[in-house]
Amino acid sequence: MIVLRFNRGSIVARGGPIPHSRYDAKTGTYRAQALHYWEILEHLERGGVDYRDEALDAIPCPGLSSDIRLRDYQKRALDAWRAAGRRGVVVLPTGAGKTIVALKAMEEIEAATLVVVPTLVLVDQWRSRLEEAFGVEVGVVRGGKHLLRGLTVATYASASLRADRLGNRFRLLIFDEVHHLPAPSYRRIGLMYLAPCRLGLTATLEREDGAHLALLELVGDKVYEMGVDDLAGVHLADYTIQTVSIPLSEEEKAEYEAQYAIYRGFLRRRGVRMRSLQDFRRFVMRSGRDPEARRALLARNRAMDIALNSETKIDYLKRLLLENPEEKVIIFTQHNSLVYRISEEMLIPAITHQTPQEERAEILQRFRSSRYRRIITSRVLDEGVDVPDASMAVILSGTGSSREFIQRLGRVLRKQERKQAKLVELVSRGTTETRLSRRRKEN
Amino acid sequence: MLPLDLLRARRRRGTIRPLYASEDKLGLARTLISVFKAHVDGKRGELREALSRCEELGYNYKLVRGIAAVLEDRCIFQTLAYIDPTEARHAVFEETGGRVVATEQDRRRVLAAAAFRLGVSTEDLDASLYADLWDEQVLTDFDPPTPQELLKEYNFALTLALITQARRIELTYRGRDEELELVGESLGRCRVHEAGGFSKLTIERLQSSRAGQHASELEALLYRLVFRKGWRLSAEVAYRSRKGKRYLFELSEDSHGRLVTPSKPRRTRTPSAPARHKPTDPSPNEIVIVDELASHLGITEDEARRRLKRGGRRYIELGDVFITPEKLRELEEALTSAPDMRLPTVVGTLRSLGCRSPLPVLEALGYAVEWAEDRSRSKVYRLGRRRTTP
Repeated sequence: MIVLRFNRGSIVARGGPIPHSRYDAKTGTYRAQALHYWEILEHLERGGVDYRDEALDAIPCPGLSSDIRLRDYQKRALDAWRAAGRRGVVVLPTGAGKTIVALKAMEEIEAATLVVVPTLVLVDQWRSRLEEAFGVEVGVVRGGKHLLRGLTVATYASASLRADRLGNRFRLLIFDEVHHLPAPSYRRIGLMYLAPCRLGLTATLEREDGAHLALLELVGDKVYEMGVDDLAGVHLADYTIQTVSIPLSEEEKAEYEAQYAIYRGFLRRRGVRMRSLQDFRRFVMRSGRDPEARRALLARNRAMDIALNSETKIDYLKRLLLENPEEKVIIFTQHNSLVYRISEEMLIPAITHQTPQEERAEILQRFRSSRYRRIITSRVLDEGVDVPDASMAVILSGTGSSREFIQRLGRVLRKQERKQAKLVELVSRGTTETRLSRRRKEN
Repeated sequence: MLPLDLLRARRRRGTIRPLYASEDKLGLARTLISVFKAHVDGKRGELREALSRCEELGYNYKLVRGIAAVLEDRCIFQTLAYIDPTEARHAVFEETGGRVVATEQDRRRVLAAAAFRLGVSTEDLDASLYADLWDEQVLTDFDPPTPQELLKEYNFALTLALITQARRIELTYRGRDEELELVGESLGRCRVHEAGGFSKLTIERLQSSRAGQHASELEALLYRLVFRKGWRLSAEVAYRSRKGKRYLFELSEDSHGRLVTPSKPRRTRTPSAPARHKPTDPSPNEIVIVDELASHLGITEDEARRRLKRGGRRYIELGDVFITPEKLRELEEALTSAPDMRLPTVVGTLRSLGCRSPLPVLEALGYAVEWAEDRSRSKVYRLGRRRTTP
C-alpha cells in the first residue's frame, strides 16, 4: 500500500512510486512537489492503486451559506472554473465583482480555504467581507499574527514563509491579484501547498516580464476573461479617455533636451540600442560599473522627471479642476514628490506609502462621503485597496504598464445611474512620455 | 547592515571576496563626511540630493551609497513641527472641503482659517503640514568618524552583508570565548573544538527562506571576533547563486583584518537610531518564543510549553512568548520611553535588550506594526493590553 504524507512542502510516498516524484534512496521514499497532489490522487484512483492519504490535514470548515446572487458573467466565470477542474484564473475588471465569484466558489466547496492577498489592507478587507458574507470567524496569517480557521486570509509574504507548515491545511487557495504569484519569492506558495482547488483573480493578468505564463502550472489556465469594454455601460459605467498633450515651458524644454542629449549621445557613441526592456536592464547593469553609463542613466532620469512632473501639467490640472468642480477626482502620479507638491500647493489630501494607516482610512472615508472631492496619490491606490467611487481620474504621470493604466481606469468605473466616467491623461508633448502613454494603452 | 544590493564582491574560482575600500578612497570618505556635516540642521531630502550628486564623482555608485549608508547610521533625524502634522493636515483639508484651491490667495485664506481654529500662526501651520515626511525630517545630530574609521566601518559592513548569505561559518581565535559561542548558538547548529590554545567555532546555519535573517546576531558575532587575538573567519557563501553553489570566503587578522577592524568600539547607540552593535549580550533564556524553541529542539509547541513550565525559571506567559518578569519590566520601560515609534528604533531598542525576535515579542506586549513599503518607515502602535495567558 502506498502511504502519502506531507513533509515541508513536499509529498512523500512510502510503499511505491507516484507521478512527478523522485526516489530518495536515503529514506526509501518517493518525493514530489505538493503542487502535484491532485494529479497524484487522480493517478492512484484511476489506476486502482491501494493507497492511504495522510498528506492533507485540512482545518475543519464550518458550513458556509450566503445570500449572494451572481450576475450573469460572474456565473459564467464560476462555471468555467468548475469545468476546468476547479483550477484556473478569472480575469475581470476592477469593480466587476471578482470577490463575489470567490465567495461563491468557497460556498460551493465548503472546505478549508486560504485567501492570499498582497497587502495588509486587503487582509482586513477580505476578513470583514468573509465575516459579513458567512457570519463565521475568519483566521489571519500575517506578520506576527497567526490564527488559523476554516477560512483564513494571509499575505503573500506570510503564506510563502509558512508554506512548509501550512501547505497541507487547506483544500482551496484563492489568490487575489494573482499576477503577484509568479514573483520568485511567492512562487513557492503555488508549489508547496497541496490545495487541489485553486482560483486566481486579477484585472490584468499579463506581466511585462512574461512570468504570468508560470500561472498555468501554479494555479491553472485562464478560464474566463472579460475586459472593461465588455462590461462598460451595462455593469460598469460608460467612460471616455482623453489624452491631453501639453508643451513643456521654455526652461523645462531646454533642460529636458540638454539632459536627454547626454543620454542619447552615450547610446550613439557606444552603439547601444534600446529595443526592449531587456536592453534597458542591461544598460542599468552596465551603469553599475561604467561611470559614463551612470552619468547617461542619471541624465535620462532627470529628463524623465522634467517630462513627468512639468509645471505646465500642474497649471493644466488647476484649470481642469476649476472647470469640473462637482466631479469626484482621483489624481495619479508616478512620483511621491509630485503628490506632496500638489497636495501642499492645492491643499488636496494625499495618500502615499508614507501616509499613516489611520489617516489613509480617514481620507478615504471622507472621500467616500464626498466631504473631500479630490484626492491625490502615486501608486499605492493602483491595486489592493478598496477605493471609493470617483467620477474622474487624472493621470498626471505613470509608467508604460497597461496593467497600471487599466487599474487606474478601474477606479472610476463603478456603475452609477447616468454616470459618465472620465479619464484624463496629461502627457508632455515632444518628450518620451508620449511613447509611455502609447504603450500603456496598447492593450 | 548594508542592504544586500549595495554589496560589492568578486567571485573567482570558487572563492568570493568583498571589494574593500582601501586608502585610495579616503578622498571620497572625506567628501561624504563633509556633505553630512554640511547638512546638520538641514532636511533629509536635501542631504539625499547632495549625496546623489556625489554618485557622479566617478566612483562606483554602490560604493558611494554604501559609505553614505554607514554614515547615516551615525545620524539622528527628527521631525520638527510646531503642531502635530497629522492634526495640521486634518484641519487644513477639512477647511478646504470641496473647493478648488488654484491660487496662492485661495491657499492663504484656507490656511489662515485652519490656523485660527487651531490657535497657531499661518506660517507655523504651513511649516508643519508635511514636516513628518521622510525627506522633510531634519538631521539634528551627526557623529562624524575620521575618514580612516569610516572606511573600516564600511568594510566591516560589507563583510557583514556577505556573511548574512553564509550557510556555514567557521571562526578560529585564541583562547575560549563563551559569549561568542552563545551568539553562535543562536545562529544554527554550533560546535566548538579546542586545540593548541585556539578555539574553532563551527556554525551550520539553518536553511531558511530568509537568508538575510539574524543580521544583528551575525553583527555581534563578527564584532566580537575581530577584537580577538589571532582571529580567522572562513565561510561558505551562497551569494547570487541560483543553483545553490557555495563560494569560499576567508578573512583573517593577518590578511584583510586591518581593513575591517574598527579602530575602537563604537559609542553606545543613540536611542532614536536603530541599534548597530549589541550594547548588551543576548540573553536567550530570558525571552523565549515557543515555536522557535520547538523547531530548534524538534519538538511540538505544546511540549515546548510544558518544558518551559517545568523548568526552574519563572516566566510570564504572553501567548506564544515566555518572558521573565525582570525582562518584561525592562522591555516595557524601554518601549514606553522610546524616543519615537518607528520600527527600526523599536526593533533596535528590543534587540539591544537581548530580544532576538522583536516582532512576536512586540505583538505579545500589545503592539502592532503598520508596515510601510519601505520597511524602515514602518511604525509601531500600542494596541492595548498585552496578551497574558492565564
